[in-house]
Amino acid sequence: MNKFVIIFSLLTVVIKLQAQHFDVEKAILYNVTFQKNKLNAKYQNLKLANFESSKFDSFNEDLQAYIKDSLNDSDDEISLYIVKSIYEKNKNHIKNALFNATYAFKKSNIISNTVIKNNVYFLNGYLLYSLNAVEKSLFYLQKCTYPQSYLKFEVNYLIANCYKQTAKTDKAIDAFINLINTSKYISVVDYQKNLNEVISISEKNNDDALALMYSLRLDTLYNRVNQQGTKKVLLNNNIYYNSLTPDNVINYLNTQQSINNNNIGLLYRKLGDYKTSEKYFLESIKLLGKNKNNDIYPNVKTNIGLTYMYLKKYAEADENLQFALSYYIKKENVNKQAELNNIIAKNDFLTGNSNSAISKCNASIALSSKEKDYTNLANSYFILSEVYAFNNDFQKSQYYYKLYNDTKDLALNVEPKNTSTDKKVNELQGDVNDEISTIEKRELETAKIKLESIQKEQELLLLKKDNELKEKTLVNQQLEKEQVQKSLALIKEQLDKEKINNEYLALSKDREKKLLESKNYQKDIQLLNADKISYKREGQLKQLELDNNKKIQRFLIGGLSLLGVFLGFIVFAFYKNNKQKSIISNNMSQLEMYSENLVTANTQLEETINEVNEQKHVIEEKNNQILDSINYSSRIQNSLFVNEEKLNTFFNDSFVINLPRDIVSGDFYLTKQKGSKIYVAVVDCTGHGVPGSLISIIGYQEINHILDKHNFSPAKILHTLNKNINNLINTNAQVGSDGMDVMLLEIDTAFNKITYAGARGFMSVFSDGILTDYKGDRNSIGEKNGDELPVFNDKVIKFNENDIVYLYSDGFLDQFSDIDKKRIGTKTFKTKLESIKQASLTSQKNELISLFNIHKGNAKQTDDVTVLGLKLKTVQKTINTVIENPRIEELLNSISQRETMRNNLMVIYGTVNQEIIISTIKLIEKKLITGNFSKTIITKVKMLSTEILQNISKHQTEHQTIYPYFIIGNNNNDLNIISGNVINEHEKNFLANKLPTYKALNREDLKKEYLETFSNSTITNEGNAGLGLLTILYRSDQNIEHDIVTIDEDLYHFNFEVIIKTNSNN
Amino acid sequence: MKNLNILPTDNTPEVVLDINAETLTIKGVCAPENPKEFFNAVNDAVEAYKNNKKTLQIDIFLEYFNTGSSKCLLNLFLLILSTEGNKLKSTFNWMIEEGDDELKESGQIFEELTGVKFNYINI
Repeated sequence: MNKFVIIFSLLTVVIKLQAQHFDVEKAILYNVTFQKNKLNAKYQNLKLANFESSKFDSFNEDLQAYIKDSLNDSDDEISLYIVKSIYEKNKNHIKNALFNATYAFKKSNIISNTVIKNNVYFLNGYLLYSLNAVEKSLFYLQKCTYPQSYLKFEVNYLIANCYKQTAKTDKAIDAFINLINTSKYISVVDYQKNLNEVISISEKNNDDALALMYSLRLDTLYNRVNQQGTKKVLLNNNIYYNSLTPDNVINYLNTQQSINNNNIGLLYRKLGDYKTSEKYFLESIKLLGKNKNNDIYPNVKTNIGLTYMYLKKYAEADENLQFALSYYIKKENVNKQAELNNIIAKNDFLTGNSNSAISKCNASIALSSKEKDYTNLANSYFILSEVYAFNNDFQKSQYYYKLYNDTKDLALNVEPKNTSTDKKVNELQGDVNDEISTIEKRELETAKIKLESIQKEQELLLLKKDNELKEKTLVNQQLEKEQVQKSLALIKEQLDKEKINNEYLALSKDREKKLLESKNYQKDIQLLNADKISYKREGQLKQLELDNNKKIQRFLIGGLSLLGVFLGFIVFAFYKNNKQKSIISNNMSQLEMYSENLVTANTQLEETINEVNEQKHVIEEKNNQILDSINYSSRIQNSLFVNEEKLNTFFNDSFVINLPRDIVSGDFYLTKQKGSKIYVAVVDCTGHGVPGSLISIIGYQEINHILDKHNFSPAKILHTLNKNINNLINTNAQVGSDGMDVMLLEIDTAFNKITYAGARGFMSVFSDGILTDYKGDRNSIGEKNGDELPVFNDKVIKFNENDIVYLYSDGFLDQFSDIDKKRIGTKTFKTKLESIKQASLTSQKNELISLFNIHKGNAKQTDDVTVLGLKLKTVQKTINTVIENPRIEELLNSISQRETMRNNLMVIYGTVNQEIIISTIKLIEKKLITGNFSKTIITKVKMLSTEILQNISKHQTEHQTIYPYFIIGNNNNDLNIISGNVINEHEKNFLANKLPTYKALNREDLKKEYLETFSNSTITNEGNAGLGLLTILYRSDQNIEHDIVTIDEDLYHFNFEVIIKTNSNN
Repeated sequence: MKNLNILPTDNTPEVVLDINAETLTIKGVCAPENPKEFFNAVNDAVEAYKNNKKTLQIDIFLEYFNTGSSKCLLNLFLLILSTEGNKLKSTFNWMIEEGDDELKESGQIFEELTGVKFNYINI
């Protein structure tokens, strides 16, 4: 019996792997996408047409062009090679397919796109597997890392098949059993396919028990599918089955079931259970009932025939075997006819019909020797040997046995196919690699040429740039020349102007000089007059009117001659009248005395005149020198004042009236911008002219210095200024109390508010059409109340865009009129402002100047005059205008009014992203270093700010009108980090719960909680489960405040403040 | 096992694992948005190092870091210190700018969490 089994087993391998249902090519094609829009659009059309061959042909025609086009985009280029490879495979151009796939693989080293890389690996693995080059196929397939489960599955299926083909049976069985489990979720087809694989391998491996187990499992599957029908058949939409649709899958599975039943029949027979074997074969035949033309049908018939032989039902056996034989005769399948003849011969032999057996064997031999079918030939010889032995013809039996042995060896010597294909593949790949290396060489050359041309281009570009630079330099030189010329012209103009000025000044000097002279003369004349009066009293002399030197001299000479006449008359009268003799002689001596005196006076007068003339020269010279330096000082002073053009960068419009009483001014004004804040001061120093201007320079310097060094509020700036001025100039008792009236404004364009403080000083503001006056505190700068310094106060007013601020010294209001000696005064000034409020600031300036000049008339200017008009500007998106929620607006306003906010180091308003965070931290660090904060504080602030900003960035919920803000304020002893953003319900609940809890913990418990959370938390991209919050609380020593305001149903505004004490560190 | 050399960016530190010198240096700012991703490469390199070498000196010189990074640093330290598999003899140097108590205290937190002694070195 043993020998029979050997023969039969040769006949029983019915099931082979069916055509692959999963279409690898389409799976890869569907997985391909392109970066280039145009190309991708075309490819999508192809995809939509399910890669219908005519459309694919036309796409292929353009492929080469596409590839050329995509040379700079490696991803697309590789994808195109993939498509081309599959196209060539479809056209059966295996070498071309392999070439394109291999080329795609070589190129794929430089890209990072894993989708494309996977496609390349899968394609190469698949192509090589289909060429039976399984080791090479495995190399590629094991690189695949598809994330899609069905693709992963198919790759593993190919890998398992590779194992199967390399006779790594254990590995193959393991792989397939693994696949069975996953395939349940892929599709019914895949499930049964993998069960089949396990069965077929274990059969080959002679593990019949395992084969039977899986066969029965397969049977259960088929029965279930049959019961549940088409609708329940699991087919994966993502898989491209070869001509398998849910509609025909039932037919397919029926066929498969019959094959399985056949297999089970075989296995039971192998295991000696012929009854059950028969049952399964019958089942198989029943399933095939409608489909008798199937190749499987005669196979099952053969198998059941064999089982009947075991069951000794020879007639049934013969019937089935004859059916199979007639089928093969019809199909002209010579090998099968030979095989069936052998089996029937065996059956005949078993029934005792030796002759029939011998004739069947001979028929078989005739068929198989023609076909060189050594296997069947060997079988025929073996049966004949057996038959003759049974008939006791041992000679013939021996003869056929020898033939059997020779033929059996021939059958075994048939070269296995695999080695030859491997060789073929190697040759193919060799060719392909040669071609690729030629291409690579060519590409290298092209790249080299390209590189060279790029280098040349760059050189050209450099040359061009050099030329451009030269040209630019030339133009610049030209411009510079022009500028120099222009400035020369300007200087000339200025010189001319100065010359005219000097001439004018010389003239006025002359006038003054003359005035001075006349004053001196008047003095002398008064002296003389006094003498004259005494002469007059004597009634002897007439009053002398003296206007100038010559006149005086003339009068004196005249006077003397008159005196002579008078003397003569007196002498004559003396002799005539004796009674008056003594009186006359008395008078005479007196007169002589007068006369002497008069002569002396005359010489004295002459001397004085000479002296005066000399002094006049000296004064003239000195005056010239002084005026020169005063004029120069005036130029210096003017250079400190910004002009309207500069002011207009801070304001929407502006004017400056600056009229010094005496060339240089004791008034000054200054502006300074710090972020969104603009500082403006108008200062009126004690005195005017040179002393006033000296004080003004000191004041200007001091205020600028304080603004540069500190972030003080206006009141604090005034306080500091007062302290410094007192130390600088008023400590010297010889100098009287010098000082200045100041009005200092801090205009916050972001928060629309002016903080002002005044040391006296005035300001008027036009807001909403109403003109309001504001005054500073009562004390000037430089004043002291004993040892105590006066207090200055900050006041805040809000403003709207285009409100006008007027700042002025008292010079304008105090100007006297030449007519009625009245001041211009507040009333006139304000009425004027009211009347011109609609006018541009330039025409307002002209109106005010003409008011001033008309009022002054010919009177002298009383004081220095400074008036500034500033039309206020605001930055575009201010919190005030943006936030509509009154509660939040109130909150923000209260924050912005705080002392801390005045000295903010950093304000961020708007959406926060990583770039903003990085630059913010850098800026904060710079500012803190400038502020001389300690290392510890700087690190702490950096860490806390990063944490808070990243929290905002992670959790900021978009809101149309409420943007996040982040502010670092500097109070004298504290740094405050204030932040706010919109959060959702979930975040609100978390914060509302955790923050108060953490804050209430004592330091030790907080640390414990912090360390515990630190150890146990896990970090995700979304957050760190409270660790961030604990970090903030720990680092800030729990100095935090928070406030949550409901905005909408599930939206909240979260205001968060961290206070960092710096007292001992700053 | 390869040397690791990650160049610094605005918000990630320079990380150098020098196999010959047997040092791991982390230097700069460490505040990436997704610290886990950043530390993956570091952890992998250290793991490979741990399987091949016996000693490692860890020099940490951070300017500042965010919470996520601090957790990742802790995990890295614990990986270095773990007794699983090959045990490393490690030295931890925590560099600080003189007077930066905040950073020093951060180092002490790590000491408490890992149970290892840090050397504090003023730079």
